[in-house]
Amino acid sequence: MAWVGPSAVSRALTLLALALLVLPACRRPSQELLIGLAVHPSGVNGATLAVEELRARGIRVRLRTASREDADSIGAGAVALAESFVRSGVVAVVGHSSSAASLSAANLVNRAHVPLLIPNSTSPLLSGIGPWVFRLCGTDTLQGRVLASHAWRAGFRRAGILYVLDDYGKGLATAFARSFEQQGGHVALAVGYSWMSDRPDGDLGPALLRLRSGGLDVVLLAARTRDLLSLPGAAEFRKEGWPALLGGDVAYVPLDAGGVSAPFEGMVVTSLLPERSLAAERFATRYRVRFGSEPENPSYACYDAVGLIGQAIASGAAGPDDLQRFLRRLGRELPAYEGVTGKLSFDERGDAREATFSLVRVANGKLVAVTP
Amino acid sequence: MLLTALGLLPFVALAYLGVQAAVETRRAFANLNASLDTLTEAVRLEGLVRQGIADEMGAAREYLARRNEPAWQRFTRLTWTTYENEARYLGLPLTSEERLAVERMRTQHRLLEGVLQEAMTRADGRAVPGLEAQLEAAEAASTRALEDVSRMLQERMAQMAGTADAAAVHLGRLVTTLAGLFVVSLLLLVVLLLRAAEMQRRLVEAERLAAVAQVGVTLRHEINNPLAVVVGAADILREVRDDPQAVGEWAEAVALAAARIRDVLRRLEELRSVETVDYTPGVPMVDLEAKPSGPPPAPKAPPS
Repeated sequence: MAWVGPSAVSRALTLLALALLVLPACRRPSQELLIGLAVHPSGVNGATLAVEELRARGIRVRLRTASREDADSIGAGAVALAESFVRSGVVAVVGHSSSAASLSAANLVNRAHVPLLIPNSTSPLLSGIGPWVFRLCGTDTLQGRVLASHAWRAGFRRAGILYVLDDYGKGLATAFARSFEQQGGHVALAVGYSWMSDRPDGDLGPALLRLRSGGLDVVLLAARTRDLLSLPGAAEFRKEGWPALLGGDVAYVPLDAGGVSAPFEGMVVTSLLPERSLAAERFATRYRVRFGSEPENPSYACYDAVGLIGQAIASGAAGPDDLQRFLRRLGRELPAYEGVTGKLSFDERGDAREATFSLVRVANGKLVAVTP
Repeated sequence: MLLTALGLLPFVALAYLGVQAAVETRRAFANLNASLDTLTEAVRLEGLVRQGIADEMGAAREYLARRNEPAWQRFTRLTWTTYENEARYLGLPLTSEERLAVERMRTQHRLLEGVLQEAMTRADGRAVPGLEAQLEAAEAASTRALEDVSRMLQERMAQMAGTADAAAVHLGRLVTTLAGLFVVSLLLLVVLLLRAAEMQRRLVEAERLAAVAQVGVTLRHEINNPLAVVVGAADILREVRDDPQAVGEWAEAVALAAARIRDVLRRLEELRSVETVDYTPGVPMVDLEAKPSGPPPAPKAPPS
């Protein structure tokens, strides 16, 4: 029998150790994993593209999508949707469409121990809401500061705010007003309006009239295009004499606007995407090839949310518990995830550590970068 | 030594239990304290939200009555401040039921704000149809939601009081149990120490008896022989009393035997350490032939 020297033994042990290290990374669950998707249609394509790319890499995931009505629902509706996802055994939920819906679903996922990855709900109330909630974007507090700084730099001193009376609208309006007035500006008029489901007989006309004719330099729309355009009295937007318009990340969504961009031409809104991101440009190219249209903000974040889940599965995560551990370790023991919206890792309150907002302008119905 | 260690064992166990009980009690009181802080903050915020809603309504009604812009501004600021207080409220570690109650309160508050805001916005133009009825309904719903939250807070306060009482009773029991255990351990230690002293005494006694037995064996061995000579010589002397030479020889034998006995007794007196040899297998006796290892005896004072 040939004598096996110590160097051969150590080589064998090294190979064995390497194999043990590599094997878990290669380990993938044999069964297909479900991801619950409760997002606005503008985000569904991004998630779909991410799933297709993951499957091409041999990572077996599938989306369980919700109808637009269900994805938009808040309160009991959002809870019921999250519950149906949990019952169907999803590994995670990506959603919801609004801060209010995400807030409603958060308690349920925390109880059910299923990670909720929030692509673009910006309410500060979601910070630290539970150990199973992870937000990929910044908060309204940050968004309000970015918009207020832009308004001040642009020379606007008298601002008005039109805000929807929900967590998104109030959060953004408050953050903007505080920051703008700290810089020396003055919020001369703020008008809140109820959401359609609250006040189906509501009329936005008088509020818009006051804002248009109030001698303001700038008006912040802390609201969503689809609400604004569907409310009675929205025709006021088409009239002349509007001051400069600012908006939050959902103030103008081309898909919602349905081609009606004229009232919002020139409006500056925040974007969840970093400025001049090569990864975002590559994603946009793939998106155009696949869907034949321009990607919208939520698609980028949804693409990242699903990609993040895929990365966890590729690293050996086989269920919600593994996924939560993976997400918590990002940026600590594991490097931050390189997404199309930037580097992703989460702080102890579940918020994205390096979240930022850039500014874009509505030009011919599309969103283009604001050049300084 | 072993008994002392065994006697201390209950005290070590007692100390461990005591430390564990203290840590548990501290943790329980820390939890209670945290819950109390949450409750205090919840009560404070509930008061602020309640006041905020009342102030919002006051500002809105003032604007509707007089159309003055400062009232509108005040209304807006109040809605934001109340929103922030509601947000802080939701940020507290609430139970699911409490959270749902606060959410219901916020929804009702939002509806009320919507009615007020629309009335204020339209006030410059046409009147809002059925405004008063809408306001009343929204206000009533908002008040009911606030009352729900208040009721939950009161329930939680009652629950906290119950928890505090239970903790105090638990602590009392714990102290009583520990005191009882301490007394029992103390008694056990005393009993063990008494038993140790008794065993020590018995050991000394046994050693003393063993020494006496060894001396007895020695005396029997060392004195019996010359004594036999003395006794035998006495008998012979009675028979040979008429033979002066034999009397002299036997008297000499008696003297030698007596000297030997005296010598044995002297060596016994001079013993400073006891070394034994087997007299017969298993029967030790003091070895009088061994060299003395202790200090020499102090010279005796001559008899006066």
